[in-house]
Amino acid sequence: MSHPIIEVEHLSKRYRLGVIGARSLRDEVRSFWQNRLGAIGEESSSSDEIWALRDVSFAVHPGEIVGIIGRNGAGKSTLLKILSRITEPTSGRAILRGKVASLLEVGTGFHPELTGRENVFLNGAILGMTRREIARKLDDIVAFADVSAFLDTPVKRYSSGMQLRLAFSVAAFLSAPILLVDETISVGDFGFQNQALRQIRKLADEGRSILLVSHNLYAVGELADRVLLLSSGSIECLATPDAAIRAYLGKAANPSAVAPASPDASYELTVSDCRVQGTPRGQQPHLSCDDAISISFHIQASSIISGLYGCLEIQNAHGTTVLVSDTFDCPPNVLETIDSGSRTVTIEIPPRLLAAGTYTIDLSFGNRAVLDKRRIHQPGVIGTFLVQDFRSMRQHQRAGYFSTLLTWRVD
Amino acid sequence: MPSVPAETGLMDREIVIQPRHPWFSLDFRELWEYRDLLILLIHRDFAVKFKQTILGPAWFILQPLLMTLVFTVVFGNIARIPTDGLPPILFYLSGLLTWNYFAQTVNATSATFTANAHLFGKVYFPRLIVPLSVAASGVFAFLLQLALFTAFWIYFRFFTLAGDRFGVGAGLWSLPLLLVVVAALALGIGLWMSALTARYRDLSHLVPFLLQLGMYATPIIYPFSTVPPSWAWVLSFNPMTPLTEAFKMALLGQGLVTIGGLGYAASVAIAVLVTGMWAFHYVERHFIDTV
Repeated sequence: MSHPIIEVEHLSKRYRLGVIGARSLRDEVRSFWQNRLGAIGEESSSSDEIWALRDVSFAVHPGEIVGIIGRNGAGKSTLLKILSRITEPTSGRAILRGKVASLLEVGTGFHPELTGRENVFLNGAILGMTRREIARKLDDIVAFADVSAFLDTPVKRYSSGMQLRLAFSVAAFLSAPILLVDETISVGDFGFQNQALRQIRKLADEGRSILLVSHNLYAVGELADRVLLLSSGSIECLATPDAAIRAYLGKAANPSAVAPASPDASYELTVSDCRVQGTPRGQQPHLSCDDAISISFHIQASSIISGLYGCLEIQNAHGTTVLVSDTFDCPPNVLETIDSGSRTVTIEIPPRLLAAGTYTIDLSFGNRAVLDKRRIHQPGVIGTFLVQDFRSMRQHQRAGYFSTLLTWRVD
Repeated sequence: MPSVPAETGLMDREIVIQPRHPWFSLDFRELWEYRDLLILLIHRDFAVKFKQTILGPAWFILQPLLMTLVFTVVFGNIARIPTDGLPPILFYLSGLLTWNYFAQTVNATSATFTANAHLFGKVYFPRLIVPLSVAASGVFAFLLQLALFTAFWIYFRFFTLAGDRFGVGAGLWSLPLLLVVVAALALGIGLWMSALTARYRDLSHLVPFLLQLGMYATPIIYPFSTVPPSWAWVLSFNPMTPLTEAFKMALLGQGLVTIGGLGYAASVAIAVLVTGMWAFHYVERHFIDTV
């Protein structure tokens, strides 16, 4: 194995809260002296500091795609910002053996008055390429972005999809051996997303190394060779995509994430023992599209709660809600009549409904009698499950939200 | 193990990211590597100016022309401030030529951080490229205005009676050098202001005001020779004074130029530029974390 192309050693980043925007000159002078003194050795750990990253070490080899996942605030973006040299680490270091290109958000570095061609050059130069390099790649960039007819049109007349494609193409075709991708691929239409993911795979096959931050677990799972799971600024694990995603989803369904019932309520409602297909929370059941998926939990109320209803939302890996069900769907509302004692509630999703992928289950309870209709109890994410398509010809190649098989009838 | 395509040839470049030393470090090699970005940013400045306006490049000429006309009427004809025996239009235009370049460079560079916060938050490149591109694209406006001046110069020199009262002065050859000193001074002040406005946003309102004050503290609408000796020393503190005078000397053969004055201006320019780069660099390290 050759040298790693990215080596990250004990990288930490501290942000000081409250140091936002302008300050007075006096604070400035004081903090300057504090910094000088602090540099001598004593480590202050005041409460207005947060460590966005803490002692993160890993290595990436040429040709490898490493996905970075974690909850909001876990330090994914901070890590990428340090590696792209937008911000400095507080301690530790990273060695990059090659130029770095970042996939920019749509419009970043694009000037609306300039033509597509001018913007390709400007954006490429911002990413550190020379005009010669860009000129050599121009045809590829334009062909991939599919904007050749509009190359000399100001970008302000482009649709947002065209701008996105062009921005992606610039970064994807320029010859930096390290590519940092932050959520860019989760926008745009489905067709382009797939095209972009394929291009990322191709770049890796050519020997480029790619760091991919995404909430799209499906994309990360499909693309990445290894996945880095960050949690509160530290590495939770660096493992195969399956293992890391499982660890992440197990984490998301941790009971600590359950919000308590509102304290002013005169009744109590507890939800426990949430299971998907009999598998308890914290483990991710692997299901087939051909199975009916049963979701069950125990519910215990202190008394009859009039107006109580429940709401279940199923979200896919993109965070899109694909299915909503509540207790009014099949009258009478069964929750309105439950009294003290533990009951088991079961909801069944019919087979061949959800497309293959990972899903999270979000549960909440409301009270119709409360005027502002606020949710009275929010267990939140109570479980996750993975659905796979084993039986149909298309299997995982099937795009879309459903796995329903339709009959083609010829008369 | 697949290898990175040979055409890139970038594998040898090792970048080490670690907490930087707070003191000055300027990576000239890196600036050089990003020279194409400098060129494209200059191109962008022009392309955008030309595309957004009907008159396009004419604005570069119209602005000083109108200013000169106003000065001629207000200060020349009404206030009757002398112009060293020079045709007022040439006198004002020569002063504005230098001052416009200076003021526009200071003004535009002082907004470096505030105007580019979004871009700076997304992608790395040597930040100094942005103010450098501003100072460089200002040179084109300067050249256009110099062409305007030359046209007036030819007219007054050969087609009016005032023509024998002035001529090209000694040191016309030094014009590019003078411009470099003005650019260094403007860039230095602009870098300081950009660093300060990144921290204290309200200072950005002060910049145009200070520039206006600065113009009156520079011999542009009045000749240095008419300033009473009791005030002349105050004016001599302004590094733009010897520079403006040297421009007038080079273009019109009139002006108070001393080696000491020019040496002073050059020293101030270098000092301001070096400390300005330091301040810019200092703020650059923390700016993104505080936006």
